Amino acid sequence: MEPAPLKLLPPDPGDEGTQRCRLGPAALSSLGVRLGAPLRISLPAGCCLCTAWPRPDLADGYVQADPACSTGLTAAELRGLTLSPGLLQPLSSRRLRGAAVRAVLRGGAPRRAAGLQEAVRDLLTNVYVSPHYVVTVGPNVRAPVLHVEILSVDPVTEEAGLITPQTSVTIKEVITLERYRLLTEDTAKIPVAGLDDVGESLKEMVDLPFRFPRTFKKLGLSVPNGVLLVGPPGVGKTLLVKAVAREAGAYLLCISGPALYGSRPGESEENLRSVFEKGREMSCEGPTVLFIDEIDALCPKRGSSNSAPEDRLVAQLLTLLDGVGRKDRMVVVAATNRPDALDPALRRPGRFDREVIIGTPTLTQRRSILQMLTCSMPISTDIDLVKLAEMTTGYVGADLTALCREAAMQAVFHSSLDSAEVLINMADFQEAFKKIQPSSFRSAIGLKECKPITWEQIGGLEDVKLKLKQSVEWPMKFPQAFARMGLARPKGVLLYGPSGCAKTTLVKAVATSCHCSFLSVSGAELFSPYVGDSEKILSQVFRQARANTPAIIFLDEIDSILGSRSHSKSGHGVSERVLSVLLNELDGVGLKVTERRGNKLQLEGRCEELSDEERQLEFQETLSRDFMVVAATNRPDMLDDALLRPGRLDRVIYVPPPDLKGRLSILKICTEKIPLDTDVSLQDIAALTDLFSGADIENLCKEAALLALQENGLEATAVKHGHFVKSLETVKPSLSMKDLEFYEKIYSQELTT
Amino acid sequence: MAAMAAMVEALREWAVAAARRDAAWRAAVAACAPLLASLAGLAAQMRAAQRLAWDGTPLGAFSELRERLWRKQRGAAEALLEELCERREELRAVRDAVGAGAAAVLRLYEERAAELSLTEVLRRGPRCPSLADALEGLQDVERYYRHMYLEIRLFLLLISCDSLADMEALQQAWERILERYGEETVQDAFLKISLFLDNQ
Repeated sequence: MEPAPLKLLPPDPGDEGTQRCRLGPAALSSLGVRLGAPLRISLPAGCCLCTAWPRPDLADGYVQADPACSTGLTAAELRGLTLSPGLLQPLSSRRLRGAAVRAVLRGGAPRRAAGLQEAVRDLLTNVYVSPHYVVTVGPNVRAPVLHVEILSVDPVTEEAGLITPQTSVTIKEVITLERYRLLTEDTAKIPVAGLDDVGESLKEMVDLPFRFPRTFKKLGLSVPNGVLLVGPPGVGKTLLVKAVAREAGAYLLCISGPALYGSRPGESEENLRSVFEKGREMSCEGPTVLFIDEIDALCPKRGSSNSAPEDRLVAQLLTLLDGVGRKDRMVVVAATNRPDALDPALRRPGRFDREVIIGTPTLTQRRSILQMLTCSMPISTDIDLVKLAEMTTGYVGADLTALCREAAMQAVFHSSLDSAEVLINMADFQEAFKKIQPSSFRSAIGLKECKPITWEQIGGLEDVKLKLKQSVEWPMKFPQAFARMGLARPKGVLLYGPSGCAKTTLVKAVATSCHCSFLSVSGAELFSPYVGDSEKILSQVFRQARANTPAIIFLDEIDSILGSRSHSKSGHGVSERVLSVLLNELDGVGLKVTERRGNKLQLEGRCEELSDEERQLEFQETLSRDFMVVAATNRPDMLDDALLRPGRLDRVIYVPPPDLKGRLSILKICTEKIPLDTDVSLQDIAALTDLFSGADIENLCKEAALLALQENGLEATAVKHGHFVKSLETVKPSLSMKDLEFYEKIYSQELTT
Repeated sequence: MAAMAAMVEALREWAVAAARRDAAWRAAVAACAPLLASLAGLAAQMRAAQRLAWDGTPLGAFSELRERLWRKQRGAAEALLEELCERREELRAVRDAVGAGAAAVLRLYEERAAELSLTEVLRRGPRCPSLADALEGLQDVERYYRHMYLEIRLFLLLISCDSLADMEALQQAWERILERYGEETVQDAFLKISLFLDNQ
């Protein structure tokens, strides 16, 4: 007869810590064991070593087990199970001569607790153990030890061994509860992509001193033990530290500002000291990382706030960081996105030895982040991650995560049925792309959303279009060709010409055709009543552009923003200072250190190992690591000469008023939506509209259509030629011969120089 | 049947010895209480002496008095602790003897287990516990002594003249230990075993 399954009940309170397994007589006889004989109970979550005892009521069909000695089972894992009797396995037992154990201290117990050895012995006496099992001390015994892990037994046995008063118990290791939890909890890696080099160096710092303590001692080296991570929000600073700590098996001690601050004077400092003390204690046992997130809140510049308590806290942190010496092998990692707000005393070797700058991810980094994010998602084969990475300029890790989540949501919306086979395709990503803006753009200055305009929507100006394409679109789209020909891309482009001749529209078309960040700054955003604010805003615009490369910065009506040093009288105006900022940003000495992105050595070191495709990607990435300035003006003579020299706005493009052919094509575009009568000859109108700019022609068409409505009432269906001729009488050209001569003169000057 | 008889015999022997030892255990535990009370009183004295502004009193003329008093008090505390250690040794002896006896009985059962059928071991009457119950009681008594001794030892180790405030609260801590280790466990087990023996 097949033995009936046994229902697992929670153990009696009286049996706690006794290691007893209560069985009915039938189960006892079918197992054929004597009372008190060791049994191994195999459960889904682990094994448990118990001794067989009858139930007090001798009822069959139930089993109660006290998990005092198990492979790390908790009471919750024993709830609501039904066991087949085959899972109870009688073990042979022998008395042990010796056992090596690892003691886990109760929380708050001192490390060098007196009488630890004897306490462990007493707790283990008359307990059946097996190697790698953990004996847990119940709450009704007040001992300094919480768990005792059996490391090895003598004589070696895989079955049960009884510890008697004669067994010699040696404590190999004493660890605290936190460290033990760290060792036992599941060690699934936190996936991080695109930060390999930073992660490596961080891991090395955490891990090496524990791997080779003697070498470091002999060399007399103190290991670098402070790292400051600097980077914009969302690039994964916190995640990186967590992942590294998890990977290296280090204990992660987090400091957060709100938890530190106390109400009483001196309380905050005391809390800080106790955290460091705890870290020091933990570092005796194994690698420990003390992580201070958002350190700018904890350690602002002293003296600026005029608050003595805050200064005292900063001073305390500085002294504590100094105290983290060679002896306690603790690594202090801090993260911030405002490095300039930190106290300068913090940023020196001995406190933070290394500063690691994590920038906005580059193309390759974005691709690897996307790869990591999508590896667990059901994506269809039409998704090209490289293309996606190209699209997502300026996105940080957090944004990419949001993008993937949104795409998955889109896929769920599409498949209305609750089916298991939901595939995420490129259209979902496109849809998500519209919704998720890069977070660095949320507070950006000058970010514009413009209606997409194609090149075809601009009439005429074919050679201007070609020039613009050459100087803006080609370097961004075909960087290989530029590099092959040894061409450097132009830094900036100046469009000048009479007003109303589609300069701004041309720039819109440029922004549409090359998918890149488009920032436009006007005087309204730039000028502020505070001294120095305008310059700051302009340099912030450039900083944003550099973080979101490739990017185009568009400065419309640049003459009004900048002015010229030679023409201005005062010499100390705002516009001059703005001009100097612009000149510096365009062709300065270099970048600010905190704006570094990606890995410097990437191109040099590993080029041989890369496949062709990857090499091309990296290549493209380095080439597109730049931004371009496009400026437009109708007063080119007002600009400073320094701005127009090569290396700054080095392509100067004249946007002329439309000639006959141009006017015709503008007319065609403008009358696309206007129903024309058959007698209308656009050719004739084009001939009549000499000196008309693009905007004038558009106005003319509107006038004519309005006139048709006026004459024929609201039922008008077509615009006649007469309407155009009549409206030509009212609409006058905005350009004059004098203006044109002026521009032509500048143009010809430019050609000759 | 021979095996059962042997078990009964061994249990009877153990029970007699254990009852005697239990009395010794109780006596030793009871003897600790006045000693701890004296220690607590001494701690209160020492604290008072520390707080006293000696120079303001006529005693201030005797410069060495404070030092000597402190030494004297320390000596008294040491003597009390020594006496407590003696009591602890007594407890330890009881624990070891009972433990060894219990181990011997269990070992005997282990050896003769093949001869004893399960029904025999589990057979119980309305007023008569089974052999299994008796053995369980035996284990419980052994564990009771072992754990209580462990806690008493850790408790005594923590007494030091450096933390007088803790020392003053010794009696309360001691009461708490006694509370958690009530006498019922041992008495129940002894009753079970004697009922089992009487009915054989």
